[in-house]
Amino acid sequence: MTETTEKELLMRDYLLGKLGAEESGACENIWFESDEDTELLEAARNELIDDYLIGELPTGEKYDFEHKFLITQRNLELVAVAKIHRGLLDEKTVREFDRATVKKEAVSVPIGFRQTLAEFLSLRKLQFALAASVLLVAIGLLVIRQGVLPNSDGSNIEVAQVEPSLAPERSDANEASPEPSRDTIQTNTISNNPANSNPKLRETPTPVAAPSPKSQKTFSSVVTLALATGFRDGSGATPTLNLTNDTKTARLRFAMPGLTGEYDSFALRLVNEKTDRVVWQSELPDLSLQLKGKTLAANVPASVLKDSEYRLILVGAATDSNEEILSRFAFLVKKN
Amino acid sequence: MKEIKHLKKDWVLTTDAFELLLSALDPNREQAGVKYEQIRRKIIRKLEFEGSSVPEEHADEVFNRVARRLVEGERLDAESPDGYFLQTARFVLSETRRSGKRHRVSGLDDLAVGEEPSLNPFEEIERLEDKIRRESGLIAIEKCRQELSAEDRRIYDIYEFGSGRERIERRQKLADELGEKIENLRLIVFRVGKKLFQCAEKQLEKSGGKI
Repeated sequence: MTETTEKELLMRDYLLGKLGAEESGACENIWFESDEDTELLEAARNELIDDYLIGELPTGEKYDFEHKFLITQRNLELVAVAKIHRGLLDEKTVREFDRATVKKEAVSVPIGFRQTLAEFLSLRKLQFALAASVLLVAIGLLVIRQGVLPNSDGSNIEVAQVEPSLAPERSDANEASPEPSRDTIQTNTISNNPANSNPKLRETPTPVAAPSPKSQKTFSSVVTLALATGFRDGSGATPTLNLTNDTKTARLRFAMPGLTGEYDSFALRLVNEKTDRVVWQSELPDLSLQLKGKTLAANVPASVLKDSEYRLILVGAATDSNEEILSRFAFLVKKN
Repeated sequence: MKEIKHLKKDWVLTTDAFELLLSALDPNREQAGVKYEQIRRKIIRKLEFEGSSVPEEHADEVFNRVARRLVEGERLDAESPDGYFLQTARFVLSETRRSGKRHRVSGLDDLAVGEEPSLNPFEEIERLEDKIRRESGLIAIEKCRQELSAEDRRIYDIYEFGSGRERIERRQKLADELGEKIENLRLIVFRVGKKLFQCAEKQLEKSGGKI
């Protein structure tokens, strides 16, 4: 929750059923008097739902939320929809914003600080002490420089690049990628190679992070699993994805099927077979025709995967019609 | 008892009853008209907040009920009648929800919390979530996201993403970037979210997948 005014705190108490009937009535009487307060109350409700979903409600509030707020169908629906909205937030946009703000902070020194520094430096009594300190520091640096190898590659702040959650795999290795991937995955491409029409599914548990030219920083580890339509691979076994504690991303590779119908939109869903619950989903951009027959990779956060059996489902939907399952791929997850 | 219920249900607001209602609000007819409008707007806001799909109709029902009670001899506190109307609005809404469910429920899967006391709210949220996802809801919501302006979408995603300290700091940075106070930013994002929610609801209704 961000900075909150007294009124908003009262609204929160009202929503959590902490106020008595009389107080609630009095508050409603005031708040529903104006559009502004009504809107503020709705915003407070959204914040409350948000805080609940990200686990940031204090224990007492959490109890009230679950026992007094979640008692109407309307509020349950609001929470369910908010949950879905959260799942669709574009992490890439957020990371771009983070990078941009980090850069800005690095180059801009606040005017207030400059002024304070200038005033400090203008004090005559301090000038001598400062000059002496600078001299000492310079000498110290020289000593250190002789004793320690420089470790500078010119870079200062490194922000990990976030990969798109769903990226087409290029069949031409030489073709320039619009967003160069920083990891090197040593795995066998299956779908674009005619020789692999009946691919034996392979997994490459190789968390290899190739350093960028400017950085020595290690990026998140990726484990790749190639999937084929159906529930079994060529040998009759369900392919297994072995994850370690270091695995950040599971890259699930599959071939875009040929389509018999016309669809306006596509989505990928990862369903836990045991619970029959959707644990991850992603919208496919409107690339269906270009991607036909090509191999795609869905980058799934390893955190959503547990020791269980999963199926990755590709669904398509045309306007004014229900979804249709176009492909499904089953696999097991084992966490070491 | 049945007879009374029958009478209540079929009760119609007459001109006399309406005049009685107005005079209970204020002896001056013009002032009474102003108060009537103010209370009506207030009730509609309350009903919308609570998720009424037909707030205007429900507001009419509230006035009908209060007028009926006045005809039956009840008195209204002319100084602060709003509370009474708001309370009546709450009753109207909860009754409508109950009767609505009687017609809507077609199977166990459609039972809502009130109809199955042992129902777990967490399971209910998950059930609703699944229902939305399975009945084209996810695609509908994604379509609605695409209908937002790129800037609205960017602001919404940045504001809502993540958790903890990182999220608070990011929100502050976003507010700085936009030159807005954080409380104004909250309202901006709320309005974007509301647009998104209303659009998604419409899409869901279109595809017959209403939650």
